[in-house]
Amino acid sequence: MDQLASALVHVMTPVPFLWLLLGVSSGIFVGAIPGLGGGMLITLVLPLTFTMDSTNALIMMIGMYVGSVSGGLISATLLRMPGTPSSVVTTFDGYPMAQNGEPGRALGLGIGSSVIGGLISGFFLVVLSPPLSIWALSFGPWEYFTMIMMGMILIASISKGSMAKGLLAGALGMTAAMPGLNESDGQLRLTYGFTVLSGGFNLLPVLLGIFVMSQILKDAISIKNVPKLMVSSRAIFPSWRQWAGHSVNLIRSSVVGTWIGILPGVGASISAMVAYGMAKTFSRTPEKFGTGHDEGIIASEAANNANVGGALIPLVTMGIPGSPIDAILLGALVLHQIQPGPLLFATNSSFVWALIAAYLVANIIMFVLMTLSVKHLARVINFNRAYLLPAIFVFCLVGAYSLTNRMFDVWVVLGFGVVGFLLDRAKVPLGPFVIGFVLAGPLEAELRSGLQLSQGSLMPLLTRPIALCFLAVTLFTLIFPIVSDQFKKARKRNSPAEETL
Amino acid sequence: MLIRIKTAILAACGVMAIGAGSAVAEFPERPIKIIVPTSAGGAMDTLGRIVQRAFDEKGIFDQKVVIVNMPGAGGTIGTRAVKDAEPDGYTIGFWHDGLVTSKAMGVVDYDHNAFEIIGTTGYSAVGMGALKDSDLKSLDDVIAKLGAEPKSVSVATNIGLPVHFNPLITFDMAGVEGLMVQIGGGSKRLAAVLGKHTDVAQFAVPEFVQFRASGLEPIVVFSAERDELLPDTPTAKESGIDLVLQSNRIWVAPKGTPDDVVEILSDALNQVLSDAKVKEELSGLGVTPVFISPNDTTAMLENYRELVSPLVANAKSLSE
Repeated sequence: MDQLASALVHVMTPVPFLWLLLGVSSGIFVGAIPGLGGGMLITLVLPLTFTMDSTNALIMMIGMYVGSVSGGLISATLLRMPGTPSSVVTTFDGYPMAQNGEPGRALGLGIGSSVIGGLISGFFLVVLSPPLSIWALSFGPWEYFTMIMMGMILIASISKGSMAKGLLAGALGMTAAMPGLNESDGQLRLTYGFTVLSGGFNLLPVLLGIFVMSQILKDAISIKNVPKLMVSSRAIFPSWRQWAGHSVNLIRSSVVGTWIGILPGVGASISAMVAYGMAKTFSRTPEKFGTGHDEGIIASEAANNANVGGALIPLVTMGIPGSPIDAILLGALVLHQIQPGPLLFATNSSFVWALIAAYLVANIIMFVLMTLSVKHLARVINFNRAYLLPAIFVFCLVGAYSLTNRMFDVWVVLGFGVVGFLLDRAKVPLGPFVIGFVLAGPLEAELRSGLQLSQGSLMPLLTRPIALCFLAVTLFTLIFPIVSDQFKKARKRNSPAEETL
Repeated sequence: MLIRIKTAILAACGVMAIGAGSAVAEFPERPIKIIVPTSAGGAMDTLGRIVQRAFDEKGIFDQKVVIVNMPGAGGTIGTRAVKDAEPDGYTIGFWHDGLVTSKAMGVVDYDHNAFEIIGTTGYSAVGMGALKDSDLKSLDDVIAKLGAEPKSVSVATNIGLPVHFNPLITFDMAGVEGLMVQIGGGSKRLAAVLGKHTDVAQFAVPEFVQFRASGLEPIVVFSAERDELLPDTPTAKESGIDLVLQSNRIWVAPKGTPDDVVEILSDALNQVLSDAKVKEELSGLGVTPVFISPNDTTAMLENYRELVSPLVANAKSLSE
């Protein structure tokens, strides 16, 4: 604790603080722009940091990481264009709430949940890093598989609108995840001889297409009659009592986000999806999800920010990156001649504590900066789309191109933009499409790894306790609505008088 | 001295080239692109950035050198981009011994022979490791267990890449059969061994040094002699398996790049690799900073191809 306190004092001294402030603000900025993200920003500034003090450089990068994950909620809420992949789920409820005339409140909920999620995972980072990273090792292929399946079923089980259309969207999304080099058997699949397809469709271009490009098309077509929304130009934060009412959701989503952050190879977008699904399942009003519901925004934003702190846990304790951005940070450590690994805490403890302190302070800075700027940001919703859309269009294509430096990804954005636009026209929800697309890959890979390990047996589903728990929750979610429907019907028959009440 | 002679020869070549009206008179005349077949971050990308920075800081070329990340499809998107680039030396790239295995697996239809080899900027010694409190203490233990019961030892791999083929080659030479399980990249393989999901996996020697504190114990190294970082770990040869493997960082240019340009690039890499700061950084990355000439690199890759080829059917059969 002494070390944490002195690290916090160090981070608050002018020079590190200014670097952190620069990191967070530039992170929020790129996070809010669809197509640009934290990973890109950190990679770009990495060469510029070579002459910097290594602690300051890493502090700034942590700030960029926190800022970029948080900034994504702005465009997701106001424009239904997720600024980063991790804020996809925020569009489900944030955008409808903003369209209902409450953009300030939607942003307030998102910003508040972000800082709470970030700080809760910061608590785990400070207090429970070693045991958590050891516990995370107990997660093998079967645990990953059942956890991802649970996330998928939780979201799908209570589908808004037509069930058939939701399933269709999910199936289409899973289909889009199929082409490319299949990591389970090392063979190319569904590439039809086109070598550009050998890497499949990447996450970022598909998301940019489905959500952002389709929205650009939609807005461009109706550009003359975008309704002016009467917006209050302040961040409207719910009262303390309302936050208290959401405390269970906040803590649950933050824990889910932290945990999924710790697991290597599972991204922030998945943690938001799982947290959203759980919030929906445990909610008293699941039918409100997707219509601009507080709980949906809270679950998504608390989880994706908690994911950042969670992903730092294996990085500082074992030198294992918990997310792609952490892999970049790890590379930055090497370039700054700091050897990452399990001994980092022992050999460079003040450095590690400075990173942890920077993470905590970055969350606070993010909160203050975003709260102050909401007043101006919320106006974006009534900004003339004729100026806004072309700029976003360019950023999307630049962002997609810079991912693998190939024109192919630009065509993917445009192609999936048309797909998303047509699906939306046909009232097919886009959420299940993206959930199917994101989860299908790891779902298949983990199941096949598990089957390779058990030589074809499905028994580990029953013999591994954690996997069994996830499986039980999944089955419960599938069966419970049917049983409870039957139960309600039976009760109605037994007491017809209640109906008149 | 050697370098000075080479420079003199190059200068002479340059003069001749001008006479012949060649474009390589003053290579490079514009920025050079280094294609990295992974995304930013990670050991391969970091190696590229160390070399790039050294090029710029030492002013080896008058021109800028830029890193272009082209990840995907087991590195083949990047290597294909190098292969298909204009053969003028302005687009080069580097990869590891996966250059050989990707063709063997049928993912692509080209291997190192489709490139001009510029050289190797160091290698990682590799070995196999198990959990510290596992009953597998040596390669002999693994072979004995597999001999008694086939597939009784599971190996975390990343299919079609050297981490998959190297254990296969080892077991094939010992006449036993292991249980290969697709786990994925380095951090997932480490977690699979530490979490007791799989018994063993291949790691680079510096990874053993780094993760020993977490309980990862090396049981064998595939070097000619014991590694000085792991003096207690026997070589495969000591267990009667005459096998030497390492993970190389191989630099390539498109086929048809003029010989003198390849030589300029090769000398430039050699020069960078002799820099003390670069050596230190590469060591921190787990790479032994030794430059290996184009001819020796080609010989190594041919040797590896011969080891890998007979096992392709076996490798593809990894399935549930």
